[in-house]
Amino acid sequence: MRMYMTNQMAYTDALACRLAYEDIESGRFDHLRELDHMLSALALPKETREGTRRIGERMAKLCADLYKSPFIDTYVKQIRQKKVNGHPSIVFALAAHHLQADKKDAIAAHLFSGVHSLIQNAVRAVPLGQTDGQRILLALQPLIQEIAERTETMTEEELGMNMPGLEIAQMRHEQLPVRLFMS
Amino acid sequence: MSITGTLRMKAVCRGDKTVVADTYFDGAFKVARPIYFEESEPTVYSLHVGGGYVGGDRYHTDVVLEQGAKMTLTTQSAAKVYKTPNAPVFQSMNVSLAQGSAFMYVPDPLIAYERARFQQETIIHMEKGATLLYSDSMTPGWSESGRPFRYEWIRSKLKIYEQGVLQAYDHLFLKPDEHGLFSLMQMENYTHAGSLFIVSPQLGQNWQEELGPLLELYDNQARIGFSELKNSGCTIRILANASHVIEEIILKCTNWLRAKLDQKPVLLRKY
Repeated sequence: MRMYMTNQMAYTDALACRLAYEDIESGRFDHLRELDHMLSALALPKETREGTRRIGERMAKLCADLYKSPFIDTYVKQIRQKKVNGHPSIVFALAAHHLQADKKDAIAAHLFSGVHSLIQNAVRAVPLGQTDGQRILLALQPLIQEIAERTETMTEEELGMNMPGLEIAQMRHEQLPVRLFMS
Repeated sequence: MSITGTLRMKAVCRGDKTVVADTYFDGAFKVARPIYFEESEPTVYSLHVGGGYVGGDRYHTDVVLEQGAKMTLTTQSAAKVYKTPNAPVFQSMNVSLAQGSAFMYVPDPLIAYERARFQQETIIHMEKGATLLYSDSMTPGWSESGRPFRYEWIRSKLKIYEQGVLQAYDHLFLKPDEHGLFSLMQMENYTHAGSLFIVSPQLGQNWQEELGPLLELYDNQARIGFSELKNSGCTIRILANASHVIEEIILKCTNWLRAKLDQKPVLLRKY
C-alpha cells in the first residue's frame, strides 16, 4: 500500500486533483480539459484506462445529482459529448471546490477515498478481516497527510509517473479468465 | 543553452523507393550513409562520436517522413550515460509521420552508470494511416560497488499524437533507492526495462491473439505485459535481467509487424 500510495497515487491521483482544483479556481477550463486527456493517455493498460473512465463518468453524474454546480454539469456534458473522458480526480476536485473545501483537504480526502476502496476490495477478496482493514486504514493516515502535503511541491512535469511492474500486472490482469475488480 | 548533438533528417518517396533527402548533423551526433537491406527502404544508423553522454549534455533529433516514406532508425551502439554531477543529460526527439509512411525506431539500450541522471522526451505526431514502431530499453551500468542500479534516475516521456490528439503518454521514472527498484510494482527484482509501441493500420483486429503466444516463449526470461492503446495501437512493457532478452523480444515483434507490412525481416545488431 505504501509503495502504491507514494508513487502511483501521489503522482497521478493526488497531483491530478491538485492541478484540477487550481484550474477550476482560476477558471482555466481549457487546461482542465487537457489534463483530462493527459490522464487518459497516461493509463496505458486498457482495462485500467476504461475502468477509471467509467468510475469518473459515474462519479460525475452522481455529483451532478447531489450538487447544484454549473462546473460539474459542464463536465458531465463534455463527457456525454466525448470532449473529455472523465476522471475521478477531476470530479473530486470539482466537488471539493463546489463545497468550498480547502485544496489540501480535498487532496487528502481524495487519497483517503482511494485507499479506503482498495482496502475494502482486499477485505472482500483476500482473507482480511474488517477490523484488520480498519487498522491498516488508520495506520496509513499519516502517510495520506504526508502525500497531501508533498503534492504542493510537485510540478506538472511529474504527473503520471508510472511503475513498470504495476503496469505489467494491470496488463496481464486483462488477459485473465476471471477478474474481480476493475478498479 | 548550446546543444551537444543535433540530428535532423527527412525521408521522402521517389517512386517506389524511399530516400533520405535532408540530413543534417552537428556536434556529437553523426549518421552513417543509409543502408538498403531492402531495395526500397533505408536503414539509418546514428552514432555518438564522443563515446558517451556526460553531465549537462543536450541532444536533439528531428525526423520527418513524408507521405509513403519508409525508414528504420537505429544506433550503432548503446548510449552510455556517465555520472552527471552538475546537470542531468537531456535528450529530445520530434518525429513527424505523414499518411502512409512507416517509421521504425529500434535503438540500442541506454546504459546508465553510477550517479547518472538522464531525461528524454519524445514527441511523435502522426497522421492517420501512418505506421509507427517505437522501442526503448534501459539498463543499469557497471558500478564500482558491483551492484546494479547505482544510477540516480532516468525519466523518459513519450507522447504519441494522432491527427493532433494525444493517444498515448508514457511517463517512466526510474529512481533506485535502498530497496525501491527491486520491489513489487517497480522493477520486481528485474534490472532491465523495455518498452514497445506500435500504431499501424496493418496491426489488424486480432493482434493480441497473435502477440500472446509470441511473447509467451519468453515467460521464463522476462515479465511481459501488453495492452491496447486508445487508438487501437499496441503497447508492450518488458522487465528482464539482460539486454539481449529485451532486444530479442523487440526484434521479434518488429519482424512480426514487418511481415504484416510486407517488409522483409531485419537483423540490425552489429556485434
